[in-house]
Amino acid sequence: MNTMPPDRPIWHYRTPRQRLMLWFGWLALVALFVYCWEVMNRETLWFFVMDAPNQAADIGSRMWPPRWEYVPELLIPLWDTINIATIGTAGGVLLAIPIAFLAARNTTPSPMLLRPVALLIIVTSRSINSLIWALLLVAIIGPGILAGMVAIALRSIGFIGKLLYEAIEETDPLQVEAIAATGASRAQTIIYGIVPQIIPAFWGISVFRWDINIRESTILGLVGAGGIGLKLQGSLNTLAWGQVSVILLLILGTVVVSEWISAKIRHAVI
Amino acid sequence: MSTVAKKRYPTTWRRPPQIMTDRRWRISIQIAIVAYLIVAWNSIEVDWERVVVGLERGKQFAMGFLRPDFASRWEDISRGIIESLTMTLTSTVVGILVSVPIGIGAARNLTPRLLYLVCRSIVAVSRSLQEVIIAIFLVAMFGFGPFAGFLTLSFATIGFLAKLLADDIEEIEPGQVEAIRSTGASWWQLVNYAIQPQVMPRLIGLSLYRLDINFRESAVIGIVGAGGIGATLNTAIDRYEYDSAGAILLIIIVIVMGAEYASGTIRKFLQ
Amino acid sequence: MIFQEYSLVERLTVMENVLSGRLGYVSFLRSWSRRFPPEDVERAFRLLDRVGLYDKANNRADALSGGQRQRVGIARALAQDPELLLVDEPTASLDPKTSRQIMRLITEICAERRLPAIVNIHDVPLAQQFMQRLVGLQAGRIVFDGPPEALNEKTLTTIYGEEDWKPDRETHEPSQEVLAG
Repeated sequence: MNTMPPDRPIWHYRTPRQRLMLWFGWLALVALFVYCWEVMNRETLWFFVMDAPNQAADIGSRMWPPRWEYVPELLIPLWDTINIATIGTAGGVLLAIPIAFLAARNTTPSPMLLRPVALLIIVTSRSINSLIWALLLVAIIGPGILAGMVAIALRSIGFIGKLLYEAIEETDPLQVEAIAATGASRAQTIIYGIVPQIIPAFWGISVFRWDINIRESTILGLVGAGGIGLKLQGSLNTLAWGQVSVILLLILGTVVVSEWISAKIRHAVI
Repeated sequence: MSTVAKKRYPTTWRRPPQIMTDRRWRISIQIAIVAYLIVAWNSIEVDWERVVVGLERGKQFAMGFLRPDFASRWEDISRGIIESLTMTLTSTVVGILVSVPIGIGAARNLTPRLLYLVCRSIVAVSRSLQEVIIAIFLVAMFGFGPFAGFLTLSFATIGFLAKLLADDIEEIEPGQVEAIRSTGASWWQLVNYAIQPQVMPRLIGLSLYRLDINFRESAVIGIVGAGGIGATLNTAIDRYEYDSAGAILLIIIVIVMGAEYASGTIRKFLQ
Repeated sequence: MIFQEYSLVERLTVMENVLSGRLGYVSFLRSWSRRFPPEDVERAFRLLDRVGLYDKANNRADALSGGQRQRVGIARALAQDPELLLVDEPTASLDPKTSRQIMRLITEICAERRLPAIVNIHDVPLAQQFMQRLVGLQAGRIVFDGPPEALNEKTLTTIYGEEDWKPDRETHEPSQEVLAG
């Protein structure tokens, strides 16, 4: 500061030009927000919105007390939901492993052809939510648990594939080089040099996705893909709010338990 | 090699188990897994005739993906996309604005105990409920349309951002906070000078990431009536218009890819 | 080949690391299921015994100390049945005592098997102590080639530049040595 010329004694955090740019950026964001707000609410009926507190109070009063007698009827759908998540995750893992090896820069057999294809599969799977996959699959193979499992598997490919291929790319190249130097083939190098390094990441990712899939599979029934979501849909359609609250509490409990299990397992493998 | 003493060495070697060293435990867990898979597999009821019929539809859908029809439902599609995009932007902005105070409130090192508990429970509720379930309730309260979707996504954003922000604040260097505090700074000055510079870059990164998630979610909550492209997609599939559905899915994929790429570039630019 | 940073696969057992030296000789399926031919397993155990790690066969590589890891690295290199041993800075990550033990082990094994070895090393006293022939390189050109006793301060200055080259001082020089095979 001592070196500053005397005619500019005021210290600024940013140069005037930067400040102008910053202000302009903020202004643009606010304008964009206002514009989006206008467009979005063009057809909003504010009468309904104003009425929301009454509606909330009404629904709340109907939801309480929960209809506990409904619980026994929910156990089999809950079991189905857990199966959808578990088998769906297992299927997703099996499909994601080869795709991850094709997508990782250091293991892909052809960076020009197979790698882009694998990355495209990963992006497609990640962009489309499991509920949309379920919507499609229910239309294609019919309503039921199978559609749910396949939907979960298809959505899991992208998630597991992405994290796994990043883990493969982050492996220590020295260990891999040492194996390659023994005269091992490509496949042997992968098995001895890379696989041992990614095993902890692999289990961590799979269990993490299983935990997410438990949450997601609870709602797949809304589009007919089996599980406890079917009961939720049924109760909502008949406006049986007492049953809805039981279902939500059950879902909440399942989610908490699955989160606990997944945290335990991840702790054990890492 | 002749100098090495002639000693007998084992000719077989098995890799010792790494995780479960007790043989009985290992075997019983393996049996349990196989039994579970059999039972779970049997709980699947498949109507094979339906599947055969469906495969024909699957083929049509695959064709729809290859030859998407953007034109015939363009009006619905463009409306859905605009709803989704506006919903995404507004909900992310509002979500950030609300989650900053809640995130600060949920940081143990800045707030009194009671406020901390209140903020943490808001975060917990928002995180444990699926967006779709929240959307069902908000549609019931606020009526169909993007406004309910906007509220859903804002609420979900709060759970996501406030939690990560609070965790970040709790992990910052206590030394820097102490240094600013010792200059006699007020609580606001403390947040402004000691906390903000440390968490700001990550907050921006997370906000961009959440923008991305919100768009993807906006495609889903339409299925339960909360506006956006999801509603259009649902209708297209219900009407078996697979070429339009393919077009919608392609648009979603392209926007998600574009958003991911853009947010990656912006994050790099900011660092 | 023996590596500078051991380059063991950290999460595999010692035995698997040694057996990985045989990968070039066995089929993919055998290596996948870890069912190596009996003579390979026997050879691996003998090598582990030779480097003094027979009891550690089932330990994971990341549970070993630096010197032990380099011993596993030696066993792995020998498992390949090499005709020439390439050794890249075998002692760069080790303390002086362990460095000497490792160098002694390498020279002893080479003598036993009449195996030539090329060692790349910066530690001049270590090279002079254990090697039979030194080759000094400077910018890719040979500036010294002879028995360890012939190496003097003048040559070291040519290689590394001006420095007080007292004996016992730790020095750095790229040098090579070939044991007559």
